[in-house]
Amino acid sequence: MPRTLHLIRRILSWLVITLLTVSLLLLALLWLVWPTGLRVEGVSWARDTGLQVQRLTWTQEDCQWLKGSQLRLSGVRPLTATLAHLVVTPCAASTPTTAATEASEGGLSLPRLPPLTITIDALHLDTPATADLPGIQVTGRQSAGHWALEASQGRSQVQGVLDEAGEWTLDAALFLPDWHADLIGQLQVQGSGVLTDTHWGGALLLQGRELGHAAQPQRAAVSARWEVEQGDWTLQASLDAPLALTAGWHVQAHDALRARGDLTSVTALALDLTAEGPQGEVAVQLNTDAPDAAAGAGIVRLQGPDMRGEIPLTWADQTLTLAPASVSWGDDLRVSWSAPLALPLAAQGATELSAQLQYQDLQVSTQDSRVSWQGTDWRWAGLLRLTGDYQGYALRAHWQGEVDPEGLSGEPVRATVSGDDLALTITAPVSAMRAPEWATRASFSGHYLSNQSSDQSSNQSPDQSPDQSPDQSPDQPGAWPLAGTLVASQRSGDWRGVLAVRSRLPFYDQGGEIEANVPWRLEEQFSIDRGATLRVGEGVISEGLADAVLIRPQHYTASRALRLDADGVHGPVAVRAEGLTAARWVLPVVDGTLTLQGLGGEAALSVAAWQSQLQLRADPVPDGGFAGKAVLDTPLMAAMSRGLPATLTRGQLSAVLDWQWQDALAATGWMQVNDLGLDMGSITARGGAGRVNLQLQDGDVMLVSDGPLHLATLDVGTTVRNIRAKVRTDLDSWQLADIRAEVLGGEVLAPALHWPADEFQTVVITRIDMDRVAALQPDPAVQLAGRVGGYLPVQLGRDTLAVQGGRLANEEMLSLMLLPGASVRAMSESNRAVQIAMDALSTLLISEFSARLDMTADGWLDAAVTIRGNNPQKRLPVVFNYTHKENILVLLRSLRIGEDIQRQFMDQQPMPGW
Amino acid sequence: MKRFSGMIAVALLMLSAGALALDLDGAKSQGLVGEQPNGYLGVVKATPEAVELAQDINTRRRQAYERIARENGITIEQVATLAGQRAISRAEPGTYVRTPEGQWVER
Repeated sequence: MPRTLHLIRRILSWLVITLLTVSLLLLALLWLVWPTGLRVEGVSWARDTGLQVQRLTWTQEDCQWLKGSQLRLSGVRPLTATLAHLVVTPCAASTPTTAATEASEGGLSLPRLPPLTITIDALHLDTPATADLPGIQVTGRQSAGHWALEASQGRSQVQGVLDEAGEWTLDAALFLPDWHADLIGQLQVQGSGVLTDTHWGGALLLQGRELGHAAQPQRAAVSARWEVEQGDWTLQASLDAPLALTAGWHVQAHDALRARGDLTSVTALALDLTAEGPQGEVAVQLNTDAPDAAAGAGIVRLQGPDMRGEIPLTWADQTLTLAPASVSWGDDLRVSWSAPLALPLAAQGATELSAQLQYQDLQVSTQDSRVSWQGTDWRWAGLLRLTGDYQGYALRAHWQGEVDPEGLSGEPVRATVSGDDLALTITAPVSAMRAPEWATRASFSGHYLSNQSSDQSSNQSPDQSPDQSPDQSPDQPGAWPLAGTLVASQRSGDWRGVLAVRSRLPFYDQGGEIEANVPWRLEEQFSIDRGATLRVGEGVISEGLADAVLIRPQHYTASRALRLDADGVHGPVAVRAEGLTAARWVLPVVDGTLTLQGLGGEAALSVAAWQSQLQLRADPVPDGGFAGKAVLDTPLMAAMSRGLPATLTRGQLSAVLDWQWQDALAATGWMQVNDLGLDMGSITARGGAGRVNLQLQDGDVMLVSDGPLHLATLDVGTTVRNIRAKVRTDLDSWQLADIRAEVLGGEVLAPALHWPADEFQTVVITRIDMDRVAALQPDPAVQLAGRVGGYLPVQLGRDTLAVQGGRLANEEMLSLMLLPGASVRAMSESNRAVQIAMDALSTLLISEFSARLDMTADGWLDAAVTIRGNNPQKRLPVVFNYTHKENILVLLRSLRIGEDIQRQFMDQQPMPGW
Repeated sequence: MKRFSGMIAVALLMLSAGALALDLDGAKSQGLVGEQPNGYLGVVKATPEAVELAQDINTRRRQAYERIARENGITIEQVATLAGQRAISRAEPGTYVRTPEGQWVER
């Protein structure tokens, strides 16, 4: 028994050692044969599905030429593998000519492999030409050197066989709609040949039927035969009818295409075809000089509404030479070269390439220009120079460097833009302009003139270098200094970046610096990202709104992404303006939103401190300029009236204005005021209300009240009530109609009053209560009763007032009683005659009172008063005639501001800032 | 001691603020602001400091004019005009005053 256990232990030990050895050998073998650059991810194994790899990539010389997914290895003999998806990217061959030479000298053979079956559900070839093609299902089998390949896509089928003897056949039926929806027709390909270690060659025959474009009626048949023998090939193809292409073009072959070449070049070619389309006709004629000579000549002619030109060409010694030519596309674009262009017809080569491109008045020329290529890899090196004018601006630029499929390298691009109103110097390094992002960070500086005159001439001379700044001064009036950077890069075909600009508002006398930070993107359309900001710094305008104005900072922020198109910017922008400050007034902080809609838009603004709301609408009009609407709704308050002669104590103002700007502002609309209160110191007004229609045209304003304007009370020492009048004014002359006011218990009426006016206009006074008149006396000396009325023809000059033929009379019995007082006593005691008169007038019932009033424009009042009545106490009839002459203006001046007040100001009253 | 230190700090702060702020006499002598017939300071040379100073002084003048007008039964404008006459008559040589026609002239 122990012997048995010992044996089992030995066997197990050997087994473990053997397994370890085999594992190490397998690992070493895997390490040795594992292809460089092959990378797998998600490797797993299961009994029923076998080895699985989620993703695999194969990279050689920085080129990922193979990318697959869901590889499943389900059998070992034969080796059976399936792939769900495989993408093959052709990489630049490092030495294509060497490989081609080897192939042409010997043969081609496939490697000896164990039996295998490989199925790919979707095979893609990643090239620009095949990027949009659907995936192909492919199955390949190999056993004992016999290869079979089957591929299908839709109804299209391809079958290829390579047998053990090296003979191959190919049979394919390709239905073009399977590959592109716009194409119709069918291609049949049949071929056979040999492929051995020492020899390879064969022939392919292609037949196409009912070929064309789905949108065009032409149908054509094509046939071609391609033969190859050890790398030397010949091709002959014919087209029996015009073949429809895309975009309205079709191609017609006038003769069969014949070509011959090897794996590195085309050695002979005969071609005569014409392509016609909406833009014109392109005719190509190529022919070799002799059947066996690798030389020939040809010509490419372009003629039509949008293209013209003629390119003679020759080829010899595997070099194609384009004679000097000029080719135009439309009226704006022309490419020309003044010296022959020699292009080697080889997979590898280099040539001088000197050409000029002209777009409108812009020219791009090359200098020391050289193109080289090797397989699909190419490189251009040289100097590009841009000169000319575009849309009124002179453009100059130059750049020296190299371009290859991966990007640019060389010195920064330097450019200038100059014109009457713009001068910019631009520098753009190219070191980051490389695939796939093609990033750049251009910087620019210069200025823009907003008020340039047309006779200014600041264009650069053609010889001026872009390194020299345009000869304009940023200190000119109206110049906007410009400086900033433009960062741009590409991602997934979209461009995005940030534009940072610094400038300054030229109409500010101080300050007004602008900083803009604008993240943008160019996808299907140009847009500005949410959060883009524009800040205008604090500044001063000397003559703003009739006086110096300090403009606080303004902030504009894109609330959402803004869209840019040919009409302008679209989208919402949040606005915060810190307000305005002038010597006598302040505008508080303004908040709101601008909704930009191209050149037009609308704004909803509010002044929180004033509870004011303003809505603005502006749209471009067809003849130029803008039109829109403004709606204002605000309470009226003292804080608004620092610059006014009166203090607004209360009220509500609403206004709606339709406006238009076309060289000048024109507007129509209305304003409505309710519950207006004004305080002018000793004069107060309450209960103002009314609606005024407004019209502004060519700088002239017209205000017309809609119905009467109303003021409930006006306190000027005595209270005037219910003042009503219709008003029409251009702010220079005033026309009042249907005027009515209640004063001193009576009324003042006038059908119309114009100011200023030369004619005398009648003001009617009625039912004036003499008791209330007497109450105006600061030291009452007389008591009155009864009512008085009359009329006053007044002449309202611009600065004068005259009365002519005014009449006042009693409208009922009047009574007068002198009150005992110091002033009456003093008058009575002055002399005996006055005492008798005062006694007679001490108590008086007046049956007739009449007054005649005249006043000249310089203030001289002539008054003649007649009083008839009786003294009931003394039973004494009284007739009293009185005339008076006095300059009223002098009297008013003395009454208006007493000397004590003047003295107070001139000598005593402390004032802020004195 | 702590309270005394606080007072010193406040005093220093006020002194520094006063030293930084544009002084009215200084502004007048520099020709930044001047007196006007309407009783209010005007800005002769527009700078942010001059506008701010004029706004501050004029706000206080307006309040004083309103009070005086109410107390004396005259209008604010009349008070302001009287004040303007006095301010111009007392303007120091070298300072600017505004004529009724709107021109700034140096006294």
